[in-house]
Amino acid sequence: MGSAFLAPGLVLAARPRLTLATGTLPPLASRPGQVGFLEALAVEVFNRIGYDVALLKLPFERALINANAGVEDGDVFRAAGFERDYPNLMRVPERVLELDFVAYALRPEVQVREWVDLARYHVGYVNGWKIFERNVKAARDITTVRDLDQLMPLLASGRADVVLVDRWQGLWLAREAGLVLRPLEPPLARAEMFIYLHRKHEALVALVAAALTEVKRTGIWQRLVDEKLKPLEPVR
Amino acid sequence: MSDEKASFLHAALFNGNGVAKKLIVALVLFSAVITTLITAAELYADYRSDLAQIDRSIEFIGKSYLPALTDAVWVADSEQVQTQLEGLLRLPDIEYIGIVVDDNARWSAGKSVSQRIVSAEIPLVRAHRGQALTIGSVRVAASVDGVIERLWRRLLVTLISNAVKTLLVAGFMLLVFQYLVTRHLTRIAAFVRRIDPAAPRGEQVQLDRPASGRWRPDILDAVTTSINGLSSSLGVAVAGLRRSDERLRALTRESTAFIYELDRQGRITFANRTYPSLTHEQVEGSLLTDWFPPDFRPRIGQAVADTFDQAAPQRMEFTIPDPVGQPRAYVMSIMPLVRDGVTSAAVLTALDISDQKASELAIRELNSSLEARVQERTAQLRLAMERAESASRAKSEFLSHMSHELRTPLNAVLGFAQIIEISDPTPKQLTWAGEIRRAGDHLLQMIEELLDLARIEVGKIGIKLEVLDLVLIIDEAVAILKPQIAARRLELTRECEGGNAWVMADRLRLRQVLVNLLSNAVKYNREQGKIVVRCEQRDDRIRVSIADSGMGLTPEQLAKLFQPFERLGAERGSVEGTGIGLALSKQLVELMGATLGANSVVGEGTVFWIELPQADGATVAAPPETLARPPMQELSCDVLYIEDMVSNIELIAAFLAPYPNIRLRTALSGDSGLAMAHQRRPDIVLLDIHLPGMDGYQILHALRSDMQFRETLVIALSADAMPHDVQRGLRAGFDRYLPKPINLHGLLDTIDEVLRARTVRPS
Repeated sequence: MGSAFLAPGLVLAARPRLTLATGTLPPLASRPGQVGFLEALAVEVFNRIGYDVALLKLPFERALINANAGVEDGDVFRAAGFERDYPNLMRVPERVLELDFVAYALRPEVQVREWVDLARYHVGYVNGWKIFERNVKAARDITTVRDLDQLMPLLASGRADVVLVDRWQGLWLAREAGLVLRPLEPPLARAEMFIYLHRKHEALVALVAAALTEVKRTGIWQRLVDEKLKPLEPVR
Repeated sequence: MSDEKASFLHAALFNGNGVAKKLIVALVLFSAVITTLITAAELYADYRSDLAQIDRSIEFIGKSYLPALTDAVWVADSEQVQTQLEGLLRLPDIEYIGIVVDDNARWSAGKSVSQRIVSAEIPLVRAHRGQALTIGSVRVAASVDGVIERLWRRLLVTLISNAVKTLLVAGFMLLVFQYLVTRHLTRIAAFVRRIDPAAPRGEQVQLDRPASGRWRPDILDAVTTSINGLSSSLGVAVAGLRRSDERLRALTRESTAFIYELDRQGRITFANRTYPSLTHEQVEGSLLTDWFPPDFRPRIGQAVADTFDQAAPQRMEFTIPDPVGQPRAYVMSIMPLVRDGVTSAAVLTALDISDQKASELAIRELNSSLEARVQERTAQLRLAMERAESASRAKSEFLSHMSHELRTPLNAVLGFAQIIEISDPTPKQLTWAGEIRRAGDHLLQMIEELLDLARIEVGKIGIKLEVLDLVLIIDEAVAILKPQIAARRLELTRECEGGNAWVMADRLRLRQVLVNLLSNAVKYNREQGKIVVRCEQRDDRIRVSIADSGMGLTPEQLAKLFQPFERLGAERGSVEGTGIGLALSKQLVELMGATLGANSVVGEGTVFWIELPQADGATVAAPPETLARPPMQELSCDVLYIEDMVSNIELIAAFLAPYPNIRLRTALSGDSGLAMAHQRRPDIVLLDIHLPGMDGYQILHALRSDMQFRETLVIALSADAMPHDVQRGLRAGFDRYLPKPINLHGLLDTIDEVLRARTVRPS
């Protein structure tokens, strides 16, 4: 009798579940009432290998620390090279997205095409973003903020002429702040973003890569980009 | 500084002022110890307080900064974390603080350089996905070196300040002590040193200060007064000592003994006398051993050493030649003089015992001769004693024999007189028979009293003391003499209360004495005279007195009253008497521990009295009740009488003739008697002791050996009437033992009593 009762539960529990951390904002991450690009993609990928998956929003570096510590099973959206500082993380070699790092300005006369162009402006970016810390060598003034949320008010208040952020989160933050902005083209840098899994899931790395390739091959990846990201682009 | 002040200071510091120096040293040492202890306690308290402050700082970090630090570490906000750590480093004694993540100090501030640190590690915990997640820890190191350094500084300041204080106080105390005490004591010491013990002049010391003042008199006044008092009395004491010394010398000078005082080295420090050829100066100061022959010296020296070492007296006897070469014997003792537990000197006493020794020798010789004489005399005495004992035995045997020989004819005399009285005589015959009986009774009484007296002399009379009601005994004695009292028409008054006069006495002997005294009061009274019997309490004794109203006695008569055979002239009168009664009574009374005496007034009468020890009547058992006896006529029995004297047989036969129920058979010898007993078993056998052939004891044995006679009563009728005869008979198995002369009515009573006892005896 006992086994009859327990059997359905056991069957249900038999499908494993992974929790992946992310330090991103919408549209990459989900928000209440709207599934973000990364969560939709992860569900498609991990379902294919028999896993349930959930994304957990954490502070930018905490996501890495926890994933490395095994508290979470991995990080869903990181550039290449983090496995050096976080040795418990293994990168899934199939990229998730190619991300553009761009400058946003409110005033139309601001022109930034290369890193050196920033020397003329008051610049703001989020503290800890390594790509900006490495490349912003000269600026009239640099203001780092603790959160992405503080970036657009900096621009709106005129305390910064330019703020640096990635394309999709920048667009989402501008829209949330009620600002009409366009990223200054071309992007200052472009980076490939990957899924990282904790070493305990080493066996899944190749499966996830294959599943991601399969998702791209079947057009689902493109459909998700079109649905979740493209609508944020300003009409030219 | 003036010279006077300089001198005062010099005296205070150097002038042999050991007491002040000791005081100062003690003060400094005490102050140092106390300061050290108190400072140590304070510093320890500070140390604990500082450590507690470190603990509070760490606790403060844990309580106040941990949430902010946790948030900053959670978002990995390095700038924020570092800012907070730098701030915390400003807390006292905190020299290092870091955030440890995965065992690596990811952020830190300060550096731990101290040798002694207090460290703590506080975990950073954050709730994450419903669980408490440890995201790192805060490691804090606080320096104890700072604490220790502060303590050292404080210790140094405290010690220096206290040392300065103590030195100032000590210096001040030194000066004050010198001013108030030491300078005066120095003056007193100098004064005492100046006193010549041999010739004290009674001088007085005066201190250099006012005669009176505040807080006076003080201890120095008391010391000064005492010293002055001592100085005054020293002269008196020295004079007394001199007198005492002279008296000691005078007293001991005349002693025949040599009395010397010795010191530990055996040197003579005092000599009461010397040989005439020597002077005191020669002897005193010399060694004791020098005055002994060389071969004696070790022994004498050892005795002196032992006296001091053991604190115990030594004694020895020896003989040495005197200065003219004559051997003299001495006994010498050396006594330790112990003062405060130490033998300070010894007193030697030597006595010339040469004459005593000679006397002892003479005495020993005399003793030997005396012992020989004593042994000789003892042998003589033993022989005399054996002779006396033999004579005593012969006397006893004679008394026994005389008793027997007198009682045998008396038995016939008294017996037949009684027969005549009961066998219908003429009045004249009755009178004659009465005379015969009275004469016989008198003779018998005389025999009994003589025998008692003789028994007392040889110490063979038995006294059985018991607690008695004196009044009952008086009444018994009065009842015995009632016929005589009535015959002389005397008036007897008894002034005694029954139940109050309990005495310790022999019942029979007391009654015998009372009967004797009452008998005298009857016999020596005037016709129709008075007899007063009175009992009185006298301390712990009770006096019973019997007063008559007779002629009374002169003092000369009273003096001879208790001598045996002394009748005080009555022998020439008509009153019968033996002259033994009072002598016997006095002896009996004294055997009972009582006294007998008499007072008399010529023409008024005589009072005899006995004083008896009083007894506690509560211990007396109630007397047994006597059974009423039936009339003689009811007696019915078969009697066999074995007796070799025909007169005695005739007497019993005549006496029993009026009782037809008593069937009497008689036999003249044991053989015929036993034969008759076998023919018909008798109820009672009356048995003489001295019989031809078998004697009474053999017949008794034969009867007791035969079962058919087990119911037969055997009564001895014998002229062997001494107490030991009676006891022997009863022990041998006679049911009764009746001494001759036989009281015939008594015999009848005995037969009756024995038969009745037999009827109730269980078979």
